[in-house]
Amino acid sequence: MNGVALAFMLFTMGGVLALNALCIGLWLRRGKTRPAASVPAPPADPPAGPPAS
Amino acid sequence: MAELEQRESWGSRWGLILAAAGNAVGIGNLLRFPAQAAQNGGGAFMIPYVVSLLLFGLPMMWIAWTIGRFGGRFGHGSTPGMFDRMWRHPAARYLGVIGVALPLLFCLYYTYIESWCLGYAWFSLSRDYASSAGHAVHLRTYLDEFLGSTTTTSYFPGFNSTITFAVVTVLLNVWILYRGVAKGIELLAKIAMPALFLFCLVLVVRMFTLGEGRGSIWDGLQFLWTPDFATLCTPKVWVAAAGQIFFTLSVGFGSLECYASYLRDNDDVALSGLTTVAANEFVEVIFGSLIAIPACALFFGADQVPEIAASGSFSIGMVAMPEVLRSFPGLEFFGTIWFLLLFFAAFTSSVGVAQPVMAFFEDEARLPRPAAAMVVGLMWVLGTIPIVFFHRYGALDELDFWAGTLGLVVFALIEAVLFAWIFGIRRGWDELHLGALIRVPRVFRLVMKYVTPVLLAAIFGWWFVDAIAHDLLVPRPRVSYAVADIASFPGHFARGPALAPAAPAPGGDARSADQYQAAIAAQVEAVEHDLFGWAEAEIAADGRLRVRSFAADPTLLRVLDAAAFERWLALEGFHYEPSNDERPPAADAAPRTVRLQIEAWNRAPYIWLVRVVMLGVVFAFLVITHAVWKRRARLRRDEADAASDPAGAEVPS
Repeated sequence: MNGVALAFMLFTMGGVLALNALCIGLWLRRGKTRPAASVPAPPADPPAGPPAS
Repeated sequence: MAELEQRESWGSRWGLILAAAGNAVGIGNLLRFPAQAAQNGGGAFMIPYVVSLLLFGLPMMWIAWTIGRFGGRFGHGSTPGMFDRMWRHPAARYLGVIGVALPLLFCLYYTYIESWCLGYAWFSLSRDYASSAGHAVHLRTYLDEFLGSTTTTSYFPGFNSTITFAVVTVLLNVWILYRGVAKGIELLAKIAMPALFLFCLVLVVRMFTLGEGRGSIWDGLQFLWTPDFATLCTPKVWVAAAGQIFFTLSVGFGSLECYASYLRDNDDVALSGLTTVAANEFVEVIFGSLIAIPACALFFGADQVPEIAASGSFSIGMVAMPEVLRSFPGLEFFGTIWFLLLFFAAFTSSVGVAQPVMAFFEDEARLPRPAAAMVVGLMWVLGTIPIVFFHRYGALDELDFWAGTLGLVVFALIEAVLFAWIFGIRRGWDELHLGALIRVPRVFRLVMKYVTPVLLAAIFGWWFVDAIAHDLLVPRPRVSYAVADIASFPGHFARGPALAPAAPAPGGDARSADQYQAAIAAQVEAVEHDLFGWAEAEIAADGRLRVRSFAADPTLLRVLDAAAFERWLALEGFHYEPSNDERPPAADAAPRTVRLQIEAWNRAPYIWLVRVVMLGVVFAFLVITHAVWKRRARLRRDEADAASDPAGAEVPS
């Protein structure tokens, strides 16, 4: 495997790994700052129609 | 007024991320990406790939998540309701219907492809495609027979296996949908996605410990990653990269919007969209490039890899990879892992794509979930079974072209314009950042408003013109020939350079190989039914075939006889290559004979049927949408009347 191909591969894969690491880091940071509620809030507006009869 | 029903929601944040990643990660990540990269400049392909990701992949992902959560706030999980809330115009809901019809049409054929993976996982476990003495399994023919692309019966006598796996796959999907978002889709993602990563790791380790074959793993990686910068000047490479980004992220289906509709206002759609992209790229770029192409380079040799890559995604996955896997110990384990990997990748995508259809029936038509699952399941089974039977006529490719290619771009374009120009980029931008930890760089605001719609329109134009240029819109007959008794030949029948003499036949026949096919196709179009021919040929010492007898439909005999068929075979370089352990026949032995079958399929009626069904599905959803909104308007009027005149009001049922 030549050096250029190896460099391209490692650079691209490194970029993808870094992006994933960034996302994991952001989620961990978000988890600390904004604990998610386990129960969803009801819709702010009612659905457009009542249930079918 | 009746009580509002509580919509479903995700059980956990990680469950949602895994489900969204599972939706995006599909067979294309592991098969289409390496094939596209190999054919379009190797490492240099990553430049248009990343540019496309930034200019419309990531923006469309954020648009989809934002639209979804916005619509979900009003109880809408599918795009008719979402669009109606974004744009108070009657046209909005009807445009949104595309986001329900396309996923259904996509699922009809995608689950069929998914079922091939399930079937091959079973065949790997049972060593069904491992050759034995006197029974050689040729994987190309094996696949063609399994799919019913040919009527030869060396390995599969009919459609029983195919239809069984297809129906089982559809029922598995419907069962997951019936269980709901948290207990179905999310639970599936929590099991399937870690399993998918584990399977990928196992296969990567396996590939790197196989040793050396005709080539090595490094040859494959070199082939895949060596940049050919000259290709960057070719528009085709940029369109291919844009197409790959489009397909891999599953944007334009309405499925991510549906997933996002089960979120709350304090959920982070900006980060969720980015994480979905990241997880998808992880599987695509890392595992997609480390498994299939390197394995093929190791087994077949570096010189064969370009041809394998050019043969297409399914040929790599269902023909080349099984060939590699069965040639090394552990087919039952590693073969099963490979196909289960593909199956899980497809399974998590198909349930995601089908969920907007479920949501449409639940949220808009107000059906309870079991009834919605029954309706969706019924349409799914009834739609998939004909695709299985009509696969040989190109039903799957037709659906893929209209629903899975052009339709997606059109729908994505509608979404992009609706979001940036009608809903308003300012409102959309604020909606995207509601509850978000990250701030999306402001340049994406301009990209979403101007660049993404223009690029999507350009891709649509390119693909449509390309289809016209390649005459794809007019269904032509498909003409091919196959070896009927191939299982008795341990060697390979292959095509190659034209074999001499390709001189005119005694009767003055000077047609080219293409002209033979065109002549047969013209006969099929004239009589409007399938045509078949059967030949018996001797295999000469140099591997070429000499046709001794030929029988066919009288219509076919008008354009082809034994001499013409032999010449056609020679022009295509069709010959037999004995296997290494096959003993050459004795000098005085009679030549081996082989039975050949010509098949000419009259595709037109089936292709037009598929087109009519596609339009019928769109029309049906338009009618349902119209009826739903009409009924809502009537109920609102009744409620208004009741409010203004409480004494004489009737309570709507």
